[in-house]
Amino acid sequence: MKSLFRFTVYTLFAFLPLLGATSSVVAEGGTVESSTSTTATSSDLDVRAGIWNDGQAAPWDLNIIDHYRYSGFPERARGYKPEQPIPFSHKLHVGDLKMECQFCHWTVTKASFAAIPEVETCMGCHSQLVIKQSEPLTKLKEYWSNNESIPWEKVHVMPDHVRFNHKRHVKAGVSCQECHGQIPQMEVVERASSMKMGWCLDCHRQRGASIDCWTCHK
Amino acid sequence: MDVKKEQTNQESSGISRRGFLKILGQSSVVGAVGCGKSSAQKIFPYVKADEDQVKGVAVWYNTTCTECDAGCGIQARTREGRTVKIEGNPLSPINRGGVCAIGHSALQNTYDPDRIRQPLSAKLGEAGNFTPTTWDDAITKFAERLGRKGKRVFLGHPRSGALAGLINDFCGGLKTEFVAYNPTNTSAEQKAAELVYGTSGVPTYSLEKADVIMNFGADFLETWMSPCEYARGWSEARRKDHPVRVIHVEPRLSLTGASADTWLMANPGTEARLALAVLKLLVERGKGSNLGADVVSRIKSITNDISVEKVSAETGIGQDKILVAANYLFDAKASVVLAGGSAATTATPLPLLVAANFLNLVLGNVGSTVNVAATRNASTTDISAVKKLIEEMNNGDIDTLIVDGTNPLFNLPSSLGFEYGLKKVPMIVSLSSQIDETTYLAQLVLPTNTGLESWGDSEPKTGVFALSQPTMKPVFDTRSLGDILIQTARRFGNKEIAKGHEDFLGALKEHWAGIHAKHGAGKTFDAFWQESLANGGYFAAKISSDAASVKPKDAAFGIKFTASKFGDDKTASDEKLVLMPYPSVRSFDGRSANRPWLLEVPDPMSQISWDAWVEMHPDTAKKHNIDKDDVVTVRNHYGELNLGVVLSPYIHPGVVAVPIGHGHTQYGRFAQGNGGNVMQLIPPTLTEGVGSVALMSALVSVRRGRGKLELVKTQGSDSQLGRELARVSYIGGADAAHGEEHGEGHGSGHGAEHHEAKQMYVQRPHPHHKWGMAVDLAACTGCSACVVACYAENNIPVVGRKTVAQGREMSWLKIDRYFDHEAEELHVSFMPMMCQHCNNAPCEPVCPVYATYHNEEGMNVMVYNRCVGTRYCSNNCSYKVRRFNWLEVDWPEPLTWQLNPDVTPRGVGVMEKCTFCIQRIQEGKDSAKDLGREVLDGEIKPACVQSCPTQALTFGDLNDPESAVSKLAKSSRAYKVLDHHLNTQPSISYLNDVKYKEV
Repeated sequence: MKSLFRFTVYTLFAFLPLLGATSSVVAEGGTVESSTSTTATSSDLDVRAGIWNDGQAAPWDLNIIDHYRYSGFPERARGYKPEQPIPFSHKLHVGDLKMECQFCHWTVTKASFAAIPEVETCMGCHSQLVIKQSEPLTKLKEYWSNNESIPWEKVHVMPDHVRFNHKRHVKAGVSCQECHGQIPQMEVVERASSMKMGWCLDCHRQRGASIDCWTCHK
Repeated sequence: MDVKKEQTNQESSGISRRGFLKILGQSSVVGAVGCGKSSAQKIFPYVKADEDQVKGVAVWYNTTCTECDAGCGIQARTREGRTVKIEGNPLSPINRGGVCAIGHSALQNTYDPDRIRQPLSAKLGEAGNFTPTTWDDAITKFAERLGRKGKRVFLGHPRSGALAGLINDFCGGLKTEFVAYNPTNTSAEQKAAELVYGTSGVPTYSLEKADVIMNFGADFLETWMSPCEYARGWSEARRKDHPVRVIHVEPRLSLTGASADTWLMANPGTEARLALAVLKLLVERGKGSNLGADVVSRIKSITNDISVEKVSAETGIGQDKILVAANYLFDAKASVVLAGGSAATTATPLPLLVAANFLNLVLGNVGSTVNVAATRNASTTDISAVKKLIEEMNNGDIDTLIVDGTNPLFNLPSSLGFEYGLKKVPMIVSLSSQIDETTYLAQLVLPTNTGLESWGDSEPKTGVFALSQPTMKPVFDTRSLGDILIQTARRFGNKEIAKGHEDFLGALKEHWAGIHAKHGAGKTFDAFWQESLANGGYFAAKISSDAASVKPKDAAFGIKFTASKFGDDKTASDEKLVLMPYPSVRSFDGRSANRPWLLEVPDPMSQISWDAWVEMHPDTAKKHNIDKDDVVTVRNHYGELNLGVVLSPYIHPGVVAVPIGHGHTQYGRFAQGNGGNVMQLIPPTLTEGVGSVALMSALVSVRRGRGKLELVKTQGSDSQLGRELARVSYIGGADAAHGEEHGEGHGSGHGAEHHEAKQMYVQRPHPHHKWGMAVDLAACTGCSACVVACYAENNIPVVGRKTVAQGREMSWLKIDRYFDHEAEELHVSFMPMMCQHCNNAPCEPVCPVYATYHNEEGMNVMVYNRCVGTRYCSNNCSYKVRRFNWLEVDWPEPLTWQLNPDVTPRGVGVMEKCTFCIQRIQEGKDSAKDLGREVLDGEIKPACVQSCPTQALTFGDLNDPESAVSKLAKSSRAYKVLDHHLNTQPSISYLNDVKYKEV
C-alpha cells in the first residue's frame, strides 16, 4: 500500500512540468499532501512560472510538499527524532542552564561544519562541575576512558551534492533556531525543517542572498 | 540496513585501532540513499579537541617531494587527517610554486591499493608466497641477520641529509657494505663538470638570463635534473621582449625539443662532433680570449682535426645550419649550452659533455648563466660496484642483501645478470613500500612509509636545505626507513647508531642543529627549526659563482673526441637501428608505474594513454614492412620486445625509441602486463670514463610481429585542419611582418567584430565578477602537470584502457598536440583545452532540464543532480570538452582517501566538465569575506593554474581591468579559439605561441 502511494506521488511529480506546472496542479498536489504542514507560498508559484535556466528551482525541487515523509526517507523528513547513544538533553543544557550554542559547537563560526563537540568538551564540565552521577554520564565516561568516539545519530542529513557553510550563515546573522527550531525546548533533538531546496531558496530570496545553483551545489 | 550498521561499526573500530580516531573525527559514513533504504548516518566526533583540525577546514603542510632527486618544495593539503592534494611550494627556490605530473601522483603512491600493508616474510625458495608478520618479529629477524658471519650488502638509493648519515652509521657500525644504485643518476654530467669546472656536483643553470640555449639532448622540460626549476627559467626567458632562442640537438624530438625553435636531428652519437665544430667556429672568431692563451690553445688543439664539412657529413646536419647555430651563440649576450639526458648515456658520453662545458667556458657563461658555486648534488652511481655485487652473489658470497628504495631487477639491464645472482642470496631484506620485482623475491619485507608519511631532509642544491615532514599518519602498518634502521640496530644491541637517538626525528634534529650552527645566526634552534618546518626547509641566499676560479683539468683535454659507437661484439649483422630508451614525464624510470593518473593521462608527444610503444620514423617502418597498427618485434642478442608502434616524423630514421618504465611483471594491478621492459635489450656496457649504465648503446633489429595492436590514443587528428586553434607567430625570417599581423588579426580584432554583431543569446550582466583565464601557448611545454592536478582536485575518475579506447576518457583538461603549421620545419603545438566557459555557450540552450547554465559570475556551470544524461550538451559543444559518466566509478580502497571532500564524485549518467575549480573560487570568496575585503587578483587559483611549472595559465576577474588576466586578454597575442567562426565568446583567451624562424 505504501509503495503504491509512493508510486502515485512520484508519477505526479514526474508529470508536473509536462502539465505546464499550472497553479491548479500545485493546488492538487497540496491537497494530496494536506496532512503535513506545508509551506507552499505564492512566491513558489511565481518562481515556477519564471525562467528555470537562471539558476532557479524546478518544481520538483520546491518546498511544496515534504514528500520524504511518505516515500521511505524518515531521516530526511521533519520530525525525524532518532534515539541517540546518550540521551543528551538540549532542553536541560540550553533551555534550563542557558548555555550558549557556540560553547559546545565552537567550530560553527570557523568552518562550514558546526561540528558535534568532542568528547573532551563534555568531559570538560562533567569531570569537574557536575557531581551528580547518572546512567548517561557513566556512559559518557566510559567512552572517554576507552578513548572512543560517541556514535551520534545524524539528525540533519544533507545530500552529498549540497555545500552548506555554517560559518557564512552565522556571520550573516542567521540564528541557529531559524533552521534548527526551538532547540532549547527539545529533550531529544528533532529535524525541525524540511531542509529541502525550496525551503533554502525562500530564505535566500527574502534576504537577497545568492540563488545561483553553484552557491549551494557542488 | 543491518549490514550498513555493521559496516559502520567495523569502520569505527578499525579507525580506533589504528589510532586514527583523533584526526579522523566526525567522518560520517554515507548511507545508501534510495527508496526503501535507510539514509541514516552517524557522526563520530573527535575524542579530544585539536585546534589545527577543524572539520571542513584544510590544513596545509610544507614538505619536500621525494619522487625524484630535484627536491621540489610541495604543500600537502590535508582534510580531516588525510592528504588530498599536492601543490607546489612558492617559497621553494627550486620549483617556485609549480609541481610536475609525477609530483602530483605521489598521493596515488601513498594510497596505492597494492601497497604493502604490514611486514611480510617468505620462506627461502617460495618467492612471493608471503605471510604477514608483526613488526616485532620482522625487526628481530632482520637484527638476527646482522649477527651472522656472512657478507652483508646494503644496496640503496644514494641519499643526502640525515638519512645518508644514518645509513652510513648503520653500514659502518654493523659491518655492512653500502652499494649505491640510482637508475636515473647523473654520473656522466657530474664527471664532465668535475673535469672542466672542477666542481663536485653538476652546475646549475640560470636559463632565465639566456638569449640563446643550445641543448644537446638534455630534456630539461621533462625529466632532466630539475624539470620544474628549469621549465620556470626557460619560460621566463621565453617571455622576455626578445625571447630566448632554443636550438635542440637530439635524434628524437623530446618534449624539450618540441618547444625549441630549431631542431637539429644529428645522427645518433655524433653530437660531440657537432659541439666541437661549434666550439672551433667560436674560438676561431675570438671567443674565449678571457680564458688565457694556455687554455685557448689547448682547446684549439682538440678541434684541430675538425672541419665543418666533415662534421656536416658525420652528423647529417647541413653546413649552413652549423654555421648559423654558431653565429647565434657568438652574437648572444648570454647563452647556455646544455648536454645530458640520453646523450649522456651513450657508451662514450664524456666527449659531448666535456665539449659542451668547454662551449660554456669560451662563451663566458660561467659566472653568468652557469653557476659552478651552487651545484646540484649529484646522485652518482658506480655500476662497477653493482657488477662486483652481482659477481659475489653468483659466487654465493652474499649472506644478506638489504635492498632499499631501488628496484634493480626491473631497471638494471637484465644482461648484467642481477636476477641470477639474486636467486643465490639466502636472505633478501627489502625496505620498500611496493611489491616490486626485487621485493617479490625477498624473504623479509619491511614496508616503509612514503615521502608523505616520513620525516626527512635533503640538500638538492648548494644552499637549499629541504625538509620533509609527515603530512598524515601512515595509511598502513608501515614505518619510516630511518626508524626501521634505528630499531633494528638497537634490537641487535648497537645503541650508538644515530648518535644514540631512539628515533629518526631525533637524528634529523641533530643533523639540523649543524645547519642551524652555520645558518641560524641570532635564532634559537627551536625557532630555526619551526621556521624551517613552516617554510619547507631552509633556503640560503642565492650563491653566485665566480668565473675566475674555473680551470679545466688536464684529463679534460685528454679525452678522445670521437663519435659514440653503438652495439657490441654480440650485435648481429641485421641489427642496425640504434635503440633509444628514455625516461618520460609519465613513466620516468618505472617507479610511478602503478599510479592510475599517470597511466591514463596521455603522453604529451605521442598522445598515447595506458599502452607502451616503440617510436620510429615512417620511412624506417616502410623499409621493414611495418604498418601503423602492427605489433613490432624489437630484438637483439639480449632480448626481445613486442610493442605497438608510433610512427613519428620527429625521430631519426636510424633510431627507434622506447620509453623506460613500462612492462612491470610485479608492482601492482595497474602496472602489470603493460608492454615490455626496455632494459631487457640493453647490453652490459658501461659508459667509458664514468661507469654508469650505457642505456643508449644497443643496436636492434625490428620486424613486423604477430597480430595487430591499436594503441590507445586520445587525439583523433594530429592536424588542426586549418582551423587556427593553436596559433603561432614567427619572429625574424622573411615574413616577420606577417607574423605580427597574424597575431593582431586573429586576436582581439576578430572578437570585437562579433561582439557588435547581433546576438542570438541573451547577454547577461556580470555585476560582481566575471571569471576568466588566459593560456600562454608560448610558455606551455605540454608537461601535463595541469591535467594531473585537475584529476586530483576534481575527483575525476580513471576509466581504464578499454574505456579510453572508446573515447570516453574523463579528463576535464587535456593537452592537445598538433603537428602542423604552414611551411615550417619544426611545428609542434601544445594546447591546454578545457571548458571555454562561453558567454554564448552552445551547450546551454539544448539542455532539456536546465542542468547547465550561465551564472552571473560569467561561468558556464553544470548542476550534476539535475542532469538526466541526454548528452545533448556534449554533442553541441564546439570544443568537445564535456565528459559523460558512462560507468559507475570504482575507486579501490584506499584510493578513495584521496578524494577531495569539497567536490562531489559524479554518478553514472551525469555529464561533467571543467568548473574553473568553483570550490576554490568559493573558498577564496569565503576567506575574503571573513577578512572584510574583496577578492584580490591572483588570490584564487584553479588547480591547473597553481600547478603549472611555467605559469602558462593565469586566472582572474575580467571585470577588473587591472587584473593580470584582463591585461593578458587584451594583449596583441590574445585570441579566442573558434570564436571568429562561431561567436561563442569564450572566457578563456589564448596567447599565441612565439617562435623564431628556423635557422
